[in-house]
Amino acid sequence: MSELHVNELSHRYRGVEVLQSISFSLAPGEIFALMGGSGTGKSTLLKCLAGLEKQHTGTITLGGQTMDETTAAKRPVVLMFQDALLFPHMTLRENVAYALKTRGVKRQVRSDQAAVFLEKVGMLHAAERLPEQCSGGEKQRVALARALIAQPALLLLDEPFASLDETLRFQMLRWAKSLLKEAGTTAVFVTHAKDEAVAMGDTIGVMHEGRLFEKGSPAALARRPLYGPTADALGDGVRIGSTFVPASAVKVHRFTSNDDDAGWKAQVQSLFQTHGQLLVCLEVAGAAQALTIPAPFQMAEGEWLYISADSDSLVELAEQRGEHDETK
Amino acid sequence: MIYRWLLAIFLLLMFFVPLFLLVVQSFAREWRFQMIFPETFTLQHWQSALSDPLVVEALPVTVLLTFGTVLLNFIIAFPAARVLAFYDFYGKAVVETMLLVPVLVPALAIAVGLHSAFLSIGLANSWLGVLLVYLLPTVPFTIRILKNGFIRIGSDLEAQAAVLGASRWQRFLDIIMPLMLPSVRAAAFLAGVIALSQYALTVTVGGGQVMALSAVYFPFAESANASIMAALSLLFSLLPLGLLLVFEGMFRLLFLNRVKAIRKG
Repeated sequence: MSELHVNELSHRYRGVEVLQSISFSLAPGEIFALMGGSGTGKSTLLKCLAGLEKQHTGTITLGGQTMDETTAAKRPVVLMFQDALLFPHMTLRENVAYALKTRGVKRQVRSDQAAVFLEKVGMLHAAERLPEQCSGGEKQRVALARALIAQPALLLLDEPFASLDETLRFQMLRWAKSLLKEAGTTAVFVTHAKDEAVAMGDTIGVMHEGRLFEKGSPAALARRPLYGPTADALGDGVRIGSTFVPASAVKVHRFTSNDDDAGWKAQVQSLFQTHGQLLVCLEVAGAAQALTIPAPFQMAEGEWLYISADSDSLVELAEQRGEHDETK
Repeated sequence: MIYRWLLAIFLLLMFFVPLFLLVVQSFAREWRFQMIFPETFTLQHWQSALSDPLVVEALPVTVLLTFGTVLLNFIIAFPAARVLAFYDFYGKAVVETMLLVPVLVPALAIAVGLHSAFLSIGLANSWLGVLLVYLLPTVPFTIRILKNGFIRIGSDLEAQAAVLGASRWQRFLDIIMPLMLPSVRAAAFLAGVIALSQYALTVTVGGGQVMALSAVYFPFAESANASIMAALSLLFSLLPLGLLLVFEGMFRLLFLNRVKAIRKG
């Protein structure tokens, strides 16, 4: 259980600013889901936190101690990669016990301890198998056990379940979250998928072009995003240019000649029934948007709709960090 | 099926028959023309080959030079291969080409030049000079083999071990060496065999002072009789085999528990 403070972290690779003054704090035991597309610097941020990359400026403090001069091997931080990266020449038991071996724990003790953690992930029956004899999901479970046995002050997960199929993925997420909560581990969970971030994170942050936009509860970010990237990634509503219309405030009806210019004209591109609602893909002001509407609403593709909302429920989105000072 | 038989016969003719004849020759008391097979056998030729002062001097020198070459090869090539496999830096292509040059340029040309250079720094005609010059035809191969080995295992596993708390040394022993073993084995054997067969380099840089088996072998061929020569040839070809066994034994001892898992899988 340790708190993490990241202050003004920047990293440059071949002249490109991969990370630009990233600052955030995590409470002990907090699971922070970090969202963003590929190439936004999420993985680099994790590598800096793990000590595999050295940041150019900024500080990382974990449990009150600065980590900036500490090597990866000495940091109480474990990084779990997208691939399970089990050591191919060791049995599952030896893999899980490895973190204890590096700390000089006696063979018998670490073997027993590995059994406990293999049991936790439901893989004890396969303890003497080699990684090549396991499926992708099994490997990830063992990798998680191997990470948890080290009792890291901070656990970093870099899209660990991205390569699994959807059903398995959510099983793994739920189950990984319960293990993390049981151990009280502070964790950063990187993903590009909104549903994963919402399922996993106590808090969510959105990264875009090397910067971290907003960090907050999933509900708050969905209802009232303050930045463009956050609105795109998490916002529950319609984004029209730099204006965000929360879903709760959206009013939709068929376009008529009586409609004035206060709202927006939108053309229906496609329709899809989901969770008893109608998912409508729209084209508003030249940009594609998705919106869910209660199912009974009848409409057809190609039809024109009129979207409006009370002006005081609208959110003006900022594209740059710092334009909204209240988030600092 | 027929091809398999043809291949077997071909291998038999090309490899085992000459070797067999060599063995027979080395034990034959007399094996003149028109004799189908020697009539009596003796250990005498082996005794004279093994008791020849030149050979007696050359054997330990050869073994030490070979082991020294292999050892130095790894000390130099391991870090170099790792850097070439995992890092991009300015002039990398140039370095890689430079590493091939000793293989492309005739060894003798380099040896003559090196001999005069070694003369001025006092390394000529010494075993240390010969050991150093043996690195020329071996290190490029070792770096190449190890580099491909590093590329095969990748750097992610090592990073994973690091975040699990493994020090540099633990990473080397627990992760890199066991996974690199096939490459290390191949490189050790190749470097050893190349070092064993350097006649020109040994004679030029050793200047007749450093008596490795390869240097003794040729003058021997001119004077000794065919049976002694056969015994010497067999001895010479047993060395790489011995080398292989010793290295294999060393790897097993050093990485016993780590190799076990590989073999089980």
